[in-house]
Amino acid sequence: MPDIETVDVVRIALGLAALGVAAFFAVARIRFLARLVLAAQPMPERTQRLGRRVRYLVQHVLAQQKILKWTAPGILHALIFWAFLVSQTKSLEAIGEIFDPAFSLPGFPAGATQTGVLGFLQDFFGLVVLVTIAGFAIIRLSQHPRRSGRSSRFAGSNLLQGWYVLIAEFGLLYTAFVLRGVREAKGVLPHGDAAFFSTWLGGLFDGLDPVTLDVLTTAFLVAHIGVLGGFLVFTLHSKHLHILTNVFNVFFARHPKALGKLESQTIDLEEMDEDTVLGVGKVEDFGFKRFLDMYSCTECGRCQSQCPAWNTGKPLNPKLLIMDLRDHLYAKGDAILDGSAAAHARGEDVGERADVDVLNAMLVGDEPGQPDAVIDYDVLWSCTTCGACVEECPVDIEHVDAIVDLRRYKAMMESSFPPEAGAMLRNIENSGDPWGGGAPKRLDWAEGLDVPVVEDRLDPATEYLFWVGCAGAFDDRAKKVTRNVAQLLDAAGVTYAVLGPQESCTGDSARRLGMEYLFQMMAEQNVEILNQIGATKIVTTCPHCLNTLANEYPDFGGHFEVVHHSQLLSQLIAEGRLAPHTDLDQTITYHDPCYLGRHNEVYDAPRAAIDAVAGTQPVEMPRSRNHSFCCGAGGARMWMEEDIGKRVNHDRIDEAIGTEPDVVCTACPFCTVMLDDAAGDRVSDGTIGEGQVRVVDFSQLLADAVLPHQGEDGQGGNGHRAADEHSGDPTDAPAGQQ
Amino acid sequence: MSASAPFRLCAVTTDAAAGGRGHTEVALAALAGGVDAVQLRAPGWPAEDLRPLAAVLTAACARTGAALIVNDHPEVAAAVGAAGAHVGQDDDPFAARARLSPGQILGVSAGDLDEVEAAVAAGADYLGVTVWPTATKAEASAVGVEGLGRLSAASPVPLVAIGGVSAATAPTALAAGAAGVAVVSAIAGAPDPVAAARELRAIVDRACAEDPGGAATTSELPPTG
Repeated sequence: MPDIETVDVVRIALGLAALGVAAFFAVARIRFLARLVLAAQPMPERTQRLGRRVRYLVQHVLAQQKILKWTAPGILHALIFWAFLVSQTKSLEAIGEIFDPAFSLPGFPAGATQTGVLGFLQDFFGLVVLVTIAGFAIIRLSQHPRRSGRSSRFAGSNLLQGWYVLIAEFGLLYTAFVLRGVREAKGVLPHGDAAFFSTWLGGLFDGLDPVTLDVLTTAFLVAHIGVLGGFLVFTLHSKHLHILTNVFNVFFARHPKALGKLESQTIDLEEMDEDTVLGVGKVEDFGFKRFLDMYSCTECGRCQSQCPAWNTGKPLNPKLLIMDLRDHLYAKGDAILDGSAAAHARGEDVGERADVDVLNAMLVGDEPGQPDAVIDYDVLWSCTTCGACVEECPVDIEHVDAIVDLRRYKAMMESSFPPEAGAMLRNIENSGDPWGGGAPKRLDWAEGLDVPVVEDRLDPATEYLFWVGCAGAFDDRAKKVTRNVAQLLDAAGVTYAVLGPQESCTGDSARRLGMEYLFQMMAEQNVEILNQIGATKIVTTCPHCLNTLANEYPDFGGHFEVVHHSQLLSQLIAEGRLAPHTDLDQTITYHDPCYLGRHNEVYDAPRAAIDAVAGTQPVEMPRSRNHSFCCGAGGARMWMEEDIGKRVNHDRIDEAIGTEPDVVCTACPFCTVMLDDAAGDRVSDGTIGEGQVRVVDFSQLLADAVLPHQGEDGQGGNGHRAADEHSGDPTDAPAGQQ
Repeated sequence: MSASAPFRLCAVTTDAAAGGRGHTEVALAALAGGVDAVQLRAPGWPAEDLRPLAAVLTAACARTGAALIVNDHPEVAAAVGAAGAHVGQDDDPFAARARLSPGQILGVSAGDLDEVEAAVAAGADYLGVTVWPTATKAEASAVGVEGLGRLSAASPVPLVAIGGVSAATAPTALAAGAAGVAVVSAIAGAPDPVAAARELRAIVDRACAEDPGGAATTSELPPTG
């Protein structure tokens, strides 16, 4: 039997050795990660408004506000997070115990009240962690990709890492509790009876001789520190890194959220020279927040569970996109830091290197299925920019901004994008609208109506500039909505005027395709005209126009108060200026457009307008409001072919049909086109009967109820009321409709 | 003027309204393929519509160090700070020169010795010479390879061959005395315009490196005014 002095020496030696090894590997890795994030591109706006950032950090990290949105895993996570904070004190006490068996933390002397409270919390949260580990294990087993394939949110995640975390947490807990029990048996536990569980465990060691107790302490201390050190080093090399980097990622997050305005790296066309890189063509072109995004992804898969691309069988998965970028970044890290990545990019010889494949890799492919591309062509171009991933991500990863930055490089630097989108770009450039209708036909929708058109200045007595939008001017279904809204505004006594031929495309589709040149050209033109005529308040039926006018034009000197027609019409109803009365006894489900809902957080206005039509029976789809599922048209997808997997609009209309509605309402011309087409396909394949489900803009219900003579064409989504409808060149028709 | 050619390979844009690729699309593809100049040619576009497009393409060209030449609209080129403008024989080159700022390039179309002399007198920095007849420039008189050689010998400023120039004919034009080539359908009408521009760039680079009688002589010309 060794004596206590020998055991002390062994404990100190092994304890220090374990700490030293862990510290060595941890410091090397932390240095690598920190240098790498400092080598990323600066994002000056992310280091401004620090007070607001601190408040946000407290809500989202300390209070776990966002993660609690998914109730069961959210509560488990919040508990384990708070337990994690408390458990740090246990590990610090254990490290102190290497040197002094009676160690207690500074400020927490043995027997003091606060020491008792701490002891209680340590034991309480220790037991909580046991429960949460079991809970997480159940979630991981029940949602294992082995059982549910790509619909599992863990599909493609590093599953072993997830289990390692749970086992290491259990190991930490087990060794800490044994240590505390032994301390109690030795009579040197500083927390007293408040540490109820440790005190009880102490009873199990009663009667053991001091040397045995000391050997137990030594064995479990070294084990505890070994697990702790191993866990730290593992964390720094794994998806578990979020526990260290998420504080930074949340702190530097975009406010109020990373949706609405696109905040991909600012491109100043005025300041362009040969060193300017447009978008991101190499991983090191990303801003530092993007690197933090990659560090912070925990592979939880909440993003992919909501992604319209992934859920319809397309290769894009926001989680895998971030993971692929992250793995590429780590692989390229040394070359970025020693300057050889930059030298290689300049075409210089960097000698023989093990990571030459990483240096030669394309960040994004030029065609589907290229093995040396980090991100596949189809992954990049499948995104609808619906923002479901961003909305869902508990660690504030900004997927959409990353995707558009990648698209910008492909589109502008390499002129590489799905060729069918070229028709949209050509039409915007040439005619000022994606349809190719042309300015002279912009007022065709108003035929037979007395619509005021602005010439030089907007009459100050006019309340709103009515921004019709290209869909509202050239798409047959949307033209009808435009007519309805104009007449509803007349009926309510709201004064408005339209720009007519002076209006052009806002550039939303071009920007989200990555064609910033064309977007900025349209933005400059439109802002100039809007400022010239003195526009202040704008109403529009198109959420994409709304988003661009309200959120993106301020960067180009256009500051307008922009409302969606759902906001204005519901307000007019509330004020009694519109009084819809019908005995429409129909079941209605409302589809939240991404750019109205998630991107601009307008959820209630269209619902209020629908509810105001007496007799309607609203029913919600399973995925609604901020969890709404995209129609498939955003992100310039409207203008591209969709030939992989199930069509997004089919998936959404199937969900809508599942609520057994008579009417599917939307509030966006693009959603109306997509869902109406999908409903037509479901009539063709016999899923629903002809005329069983109609897809309309919600304002159609108000028009039916308020306007006279709506009866003859109010029942179909395709009523052709407007005369002389423009039908463009069929080759320039939106690909999404074909 | 500069003694060397202002550019060696210029992509001329086409108009979507005429069934071509759009201006932005042609320009970006050509720049990605490595051209050192883009000519924005949008016949029928009023100046106020052309200006924003020219501004954007100027920025796009600045990023690769290429020159944007605005066809027919020197006032637009001046307003957006493009590299220069190109005018035909129908336009007054003196007026065009006056509209441009001193650092900007003026190109003038020329088809015979008189026109060369007049254009140079007006301050042209390069001359556009139609070598082969094309559908797009039917009315322009094509001078042929020999004519190009004659004009080249007589001209104190570099010549740029335009009209019917393709990957196959570019070396001939450069060998006959052109300092650079401007292409329309060889890039704008190619199935893959980026690849087409890249191929042309390689051909032009090779021709200029190999042929001492062609482009290289241009740089040996004595500088004038």
